[in-house]
Amino acid sequence: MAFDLLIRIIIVLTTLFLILYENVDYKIPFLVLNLFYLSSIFLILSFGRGKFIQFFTLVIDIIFISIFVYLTSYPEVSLFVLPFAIRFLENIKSLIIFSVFSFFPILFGVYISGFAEFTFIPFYFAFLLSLFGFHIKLKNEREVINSIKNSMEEIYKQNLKLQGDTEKLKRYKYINDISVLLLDRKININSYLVGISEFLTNKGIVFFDFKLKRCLSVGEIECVKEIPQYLTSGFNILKDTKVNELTNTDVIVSLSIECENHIHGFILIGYEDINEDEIELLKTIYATIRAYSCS
Amino acid sequence: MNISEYIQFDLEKSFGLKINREIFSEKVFELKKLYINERKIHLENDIKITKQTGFIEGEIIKEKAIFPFMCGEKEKIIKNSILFLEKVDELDLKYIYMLKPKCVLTKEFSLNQKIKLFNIPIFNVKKFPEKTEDIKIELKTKGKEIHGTNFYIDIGYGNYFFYLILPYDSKIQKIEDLNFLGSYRVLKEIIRRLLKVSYTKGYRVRVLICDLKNHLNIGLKKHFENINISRVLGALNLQDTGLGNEKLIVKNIRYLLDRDMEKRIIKILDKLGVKVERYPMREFSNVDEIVQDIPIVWFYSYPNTNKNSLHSAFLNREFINHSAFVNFSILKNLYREIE
Repeated sequence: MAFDLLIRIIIVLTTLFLILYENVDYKIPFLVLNLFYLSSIFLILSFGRGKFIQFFTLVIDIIFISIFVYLTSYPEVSLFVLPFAIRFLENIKSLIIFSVFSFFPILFGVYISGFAEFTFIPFYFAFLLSLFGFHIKLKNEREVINSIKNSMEEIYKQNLKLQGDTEKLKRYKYINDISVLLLDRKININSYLVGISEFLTNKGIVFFDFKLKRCLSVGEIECVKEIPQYLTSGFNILKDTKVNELTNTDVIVSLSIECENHIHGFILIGYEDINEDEIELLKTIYATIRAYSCS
Repeated sequence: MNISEYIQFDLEKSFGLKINREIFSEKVFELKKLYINERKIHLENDIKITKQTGFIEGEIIKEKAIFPFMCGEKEKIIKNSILFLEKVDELDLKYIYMLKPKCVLTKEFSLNQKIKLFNIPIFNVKKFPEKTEDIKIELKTKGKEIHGTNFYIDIGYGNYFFYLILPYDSKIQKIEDLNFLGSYRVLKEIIRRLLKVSYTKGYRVRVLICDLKNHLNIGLKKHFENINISRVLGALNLQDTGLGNEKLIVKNIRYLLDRDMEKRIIKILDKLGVKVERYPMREFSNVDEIVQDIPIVWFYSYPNTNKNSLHSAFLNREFINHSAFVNFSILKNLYREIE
């Protein structure tokens, strides 16, 4: 909007300069005409910048430029139609329409000069040619940008996929770091469970410790005394069993802490739903716990 | 045009809805100088803090990294101590926020997101002080008011609210940022579907676009201070949605969803034939702590390390449409029996 108005202001200032320093009749009406031109363009442009509005403003500009050419008797004023080309570089159709429309004030300028001034006609055609050249360059560059954008999208998608794969490994690394601390006896099993709970998508963990005769719970699953009688040793995924009913959880993974067939306790990890990755991770945790319970 | 003006202008222009504005301010403290044992230390980060503190004294704990188990085991010890950490990253920030040590000194501070305000002072130091027995830290701070603007729109009818939250940060984010524009387009698409397809029945949707996301979500906190929480059914958080790799966040500082809600969401996703992995939150956010007991449905783009630095040219229409579809379906079907 600011750019469009600035061009018109330059046109108006030029014509005003011609009124002040040259011998032009009807100075006051001319001044009013200039103001009318500026305000009408401002009003039209405030409606937006649709295709129709752009052509409509071009027609108004051409009419007013022709009037200015007629009133000032300066054929060169008709060249002011050229800066408006910038809005019609988008596609070849609108550029051709612009070329046809903008030729009228130029012809009118030649007519006003009494068919004596021809120099700005070749200038006009040279300018138009350069515009067509610029349009082709713009089109080529747009194609390059589009192809870059497409590859950017692809690379972004690939990058996300790879990050997802890395994340899986990262989770193993986190679990591994904590497991090392447990096996080195730097932390106890309770801290270990709090630690792994942060990396899993579970709803809660329950730990039945037979040695100390206690039960600990993290998250939303509560300790229920009856649960251990329904559990068996090893790594089990329980669905639709009595344990699920007691804990009110859809999927329960039970890990036994045992050494030489002697069970020291059970760890229950509750889920609403479980996927393969999570099961793999839990198997690693189970291996750690088995190593810990026999060490 | 700044980001707040853009949001108001764009929403008004796109939907012609009446947009309510909340302007708020909060006093925070900027760290100016830091002295450890009366030696001046060069400050490398510019994180502001919520509390003004003078001298910090306490037991020193040196750790390689923060592990989550510390929240149970060493919680009481860490609370009154100065923590020396080799490295602070996204993950550690959550535990520092929860454990609340007196202050944290670190050699390396690497975050994906720009955190501009934190409850605990964290300093980058090139090396840890040699004598750690009698450490005394002196902080010189300067109070500063920060301002923000929240926007909210109510869509539909009913006594109960379901929140559609989009946190943004007018101090850091720009309109063309990927993580803003992606989530914002998802929000616009959901609003468009609510208006064109149908309203939610039995409860209204409150779209809340809250400011100062990277300043501990002050905007969200200010909004929820004046809200009757008993009328809020739940919230859909759109922060970093629509950027790909969406995971349904099940827990952060607390469990975000109650069991019943999680089951329903799994059911809805199954019906839609959409596979979304459930995941614990691995980056820092305190949204769930602010909204307290309200269940939050949050499809968060993770892992996505570049989302905070990329330009919106990387936006993918496919991701945005998919996110809008999933979020809108959940918004419509989560409380069906209320009808």
